[in-house]
Amino acid sequence: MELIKVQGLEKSYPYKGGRTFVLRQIGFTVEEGEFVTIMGPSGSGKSTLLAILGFLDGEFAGEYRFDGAATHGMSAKERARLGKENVGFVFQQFHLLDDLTVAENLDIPLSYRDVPRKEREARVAEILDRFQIVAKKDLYPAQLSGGQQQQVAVARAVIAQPRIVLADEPTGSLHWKQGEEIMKLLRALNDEGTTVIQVTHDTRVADFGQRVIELADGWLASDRSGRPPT
Amino acid sequence: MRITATLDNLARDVRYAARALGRNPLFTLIAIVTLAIGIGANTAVFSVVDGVLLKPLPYPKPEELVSIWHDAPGAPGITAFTGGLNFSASMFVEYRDDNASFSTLGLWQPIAANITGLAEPEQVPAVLVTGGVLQTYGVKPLLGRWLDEHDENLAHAPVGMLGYAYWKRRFGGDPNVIGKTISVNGIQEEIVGVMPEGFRLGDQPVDVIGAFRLDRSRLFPPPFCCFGVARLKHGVTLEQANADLARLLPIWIDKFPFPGGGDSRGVYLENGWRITPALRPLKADVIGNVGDVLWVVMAMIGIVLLIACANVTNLLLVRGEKRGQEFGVRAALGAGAWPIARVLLVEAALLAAAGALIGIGFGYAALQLLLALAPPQLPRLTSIALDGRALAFAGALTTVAGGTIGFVPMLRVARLRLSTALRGSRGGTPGRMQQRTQGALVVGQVALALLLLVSSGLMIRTFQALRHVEPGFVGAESLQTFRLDFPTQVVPDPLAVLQQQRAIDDALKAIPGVTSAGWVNGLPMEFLNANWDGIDIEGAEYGVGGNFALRMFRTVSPDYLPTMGTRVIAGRNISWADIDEIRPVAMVADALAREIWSTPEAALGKKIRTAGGAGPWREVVGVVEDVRLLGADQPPPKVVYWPAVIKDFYQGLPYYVERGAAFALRSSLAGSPSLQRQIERAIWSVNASLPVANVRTMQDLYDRSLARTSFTLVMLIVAAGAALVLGVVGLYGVLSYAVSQRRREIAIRLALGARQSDVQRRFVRYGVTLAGLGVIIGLVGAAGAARLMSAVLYDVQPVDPLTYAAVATGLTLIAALASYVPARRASSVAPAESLTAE
Repeated sequence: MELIKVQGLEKSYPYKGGRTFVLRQIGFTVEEGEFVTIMGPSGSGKSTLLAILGFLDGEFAGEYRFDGAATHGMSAKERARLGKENVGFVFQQFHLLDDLTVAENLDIPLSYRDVPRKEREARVAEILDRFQIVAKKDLYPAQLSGGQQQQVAVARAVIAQPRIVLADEPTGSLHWKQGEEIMKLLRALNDEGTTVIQVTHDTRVADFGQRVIELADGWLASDRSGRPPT
Repeated sequence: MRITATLDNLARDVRYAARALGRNPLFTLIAIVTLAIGIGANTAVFSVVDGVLLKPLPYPKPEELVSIWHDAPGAPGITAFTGGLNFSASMFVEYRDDNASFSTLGLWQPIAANITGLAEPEQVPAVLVTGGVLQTYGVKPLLGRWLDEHDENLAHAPVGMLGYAYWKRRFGGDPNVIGKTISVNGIQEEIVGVMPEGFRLGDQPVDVIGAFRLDRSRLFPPPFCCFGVARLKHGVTLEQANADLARLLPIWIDKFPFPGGGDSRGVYLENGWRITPALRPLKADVIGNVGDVLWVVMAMIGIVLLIACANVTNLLLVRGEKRGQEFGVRAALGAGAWPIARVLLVEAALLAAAGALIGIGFGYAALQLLLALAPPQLPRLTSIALDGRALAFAGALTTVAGGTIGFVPMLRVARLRLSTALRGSRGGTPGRMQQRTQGALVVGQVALALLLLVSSGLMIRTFQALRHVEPGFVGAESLQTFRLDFPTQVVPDPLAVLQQQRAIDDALKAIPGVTSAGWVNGLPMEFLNANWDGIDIEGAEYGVGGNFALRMFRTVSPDYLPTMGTRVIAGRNISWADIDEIRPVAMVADALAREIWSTPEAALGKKIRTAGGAGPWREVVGVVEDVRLLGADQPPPKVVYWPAVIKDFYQGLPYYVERGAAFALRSSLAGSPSLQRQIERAIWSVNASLPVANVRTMQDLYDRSLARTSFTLVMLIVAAGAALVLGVVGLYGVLSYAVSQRRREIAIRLALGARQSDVQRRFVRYGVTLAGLGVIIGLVGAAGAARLMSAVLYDVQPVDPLTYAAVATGLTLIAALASYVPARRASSVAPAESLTAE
């Protein structure tokens, strides 16, 4: 089932009376349950594309359909609602909220979705258990290793049960051993049916996905399948 | 369900915000203390403004109460002295008989009441009231009954009432006090009632209330000795009541003519004084002219809060910028605009609430300080309290402050680009926009600080000008003063009064260390015993048809003016021989001599007498320098000095001696308790039943006359000082932040060969540019605001070039200094270290 379809997607900024393009004529589709990796050199537009796919950036030209709905015609509010209902994010710098404990960080996405407190507590407990971080629930991010922080960040990305997880260099700040653990987690999520789109430079990381979309200077340079979907 | 969820979210936000603030103790402390200063100072000043100006008077239906005053444009001296023409007994009788506007009205007069027979003789604050006064105020007695019209009758035995404090102090709160007697000025009065605690007549505390006794057959248009109070009938306006009284004035003048004839209607209504009714709300009367000062102070303190809010907003902006990523993450996790805004608002609200809590503590302490500094004339002091109204005001301020400091950072967040914010230091810095906002806040702070500094500068100039005024006396700190009253019942014969006054004067001079002593009917700046009348000049057409100027009359002993150090400009002083032989002589003030005879010397030998041809002509034997009798900031009145005893001064009185005497003596021990004890012994060696009242030095009186100015000055200096500190801290903070943000740029410049002085200059220039903009805006604002202060300025223009130039230069220099410190730090950046850190 086609979850994402982009066609003629362009992103540009005004510059010296003209425009400078970050993305040009991007077009691809992502099926539900796929694990897609976006690769490319620095400045090729990977993170910008991910922000557009995650509804964080609505200022683009072209078409972007999500689950059949034309998001390019939507208001910012509608796009934000769509993102809230369907997308979970994992960032390179983890971006856990420093002043909140692990459990409170996990609670945040649920609270923004108006989930009743009892249910939130149950889901936080369940995810702590599932990610085997119960013992860390009262610790602050600064008290965790980088790998543990990213583990919590992944848990936070999926706690609201999104249909798609977008990961921007999820292992970029970790050494390989820790990164591998995180990728296994993402892979396991994908195996359970969650669509994953990640941005990375690392081919070892890309190998955890089934398909690689390569960008160069804002253009889609290649789109090739790797590991078949499970 | 939705409410529960909202409360749940709110509770969580509060918990998280408190934790976040707790984890940034320095930021939190600075923000809270800054707000506490702003909120506390405003709460304290509001308590004063509310107590004095806003709260209703503590009487039933206070809005119906009016003071009875009159305008008399033809009697400028006396009306300037009392703030309008007072009330006379004959006017009162006419108004009571025929008015159609008041449900009740009455006449009252403050008196010096010598109380004897209870303990040592003492003088207490007292008033005489006609029937209708207490009924108008409407406050029921605690014990007994009100004084009423029946008690005015001279044929009835004298009666009186006690004030609560005096009843407690002298009668131990005896519930059976009704029916007992008390000796007031030598008259036995039966106590018929006790007023409840806190009762004041207008703003006048009273220990004893006596009956004002009237003999209708012996009333004339003057004297305008008294105060009037009335309660308007329901629905009657001030204008209607004034029109009603205007209708009664011709009836009054016809009903109470002078016994010897004369054109009373011409003197008082048509050609001379031109009396018209000028009723005032009682509250306006009680408040007086202090409203100007209080509103100025309130406005200035309000500006301090604005500056405090700008400072905290700047702090929050810096903090908000650091948190750009956090807000991006929250948005990526599903937060809408409102939940993110709520985080900021809750933090701002918590800071404001903590600031308010500490601020109320500050406010309480500041209020005690304010009350200690408050001018003694400040009315309604007993109404001033940090009460529920002040707390509600503090609550409102807290809400406004919280909203203000949360609003700008919230706007910044609303403009945040989420996708770039998430990338953090690579591109998430709002940069120029943020700097512009912060710069604008600093400009605003400097402008407001300048406004306050100019205001306090103008007050300093006012104070300096007043300090340089020559008051007409010297060495005020070594002049001991006090009052003695010689009631008719205690010393009936006027010459006996003079004899006792002179004996006391001699006894005072015998006190070791006393170099001179004398007495007068009213001291400078005392506002007591003012006697005003016109004078006739021998051989001159003067005061025809009652159209004469009123002069202040003073009766003096021969040594009074020398004791005060008041210089004789021409001629001589009144001598003891003048007193002994009761010679018809007088002295006049310099200004009066110049007005009538052009020069002081020309006045000598001229003859004058009270207007209307009463008594013999009296020779002007001397001219003395002008004395600022009405206060250092008021022009000196044109005074006639008569000897302490005058023959045939008023009709029916062979000898006139003032029974209220203010003594002044010069001693290095002035103000000491030991001198006071010696003074009491000296007085009681002559007459043991005379209480000594108003014991104070001339310096006390002088300071008291400057109290309104010095109170305003202190308040404005405190406000301006706080504004200066907050403004400089704000400028310093913004520049420090700019330096920290541009460390990398500075490092690159230095690595490329820039000199440290170049870098320093760059930042100092930035700071001075911001301050300069603030100074320019502030100067324009100050020129507008200072005009509102004209009422409290003396001998200085609202747009005083010296003050404006000094403040603008000083503030710019301070701003340059505040910019130099972070600029110096910027130039000390180690390029290698900073670039590596990046």
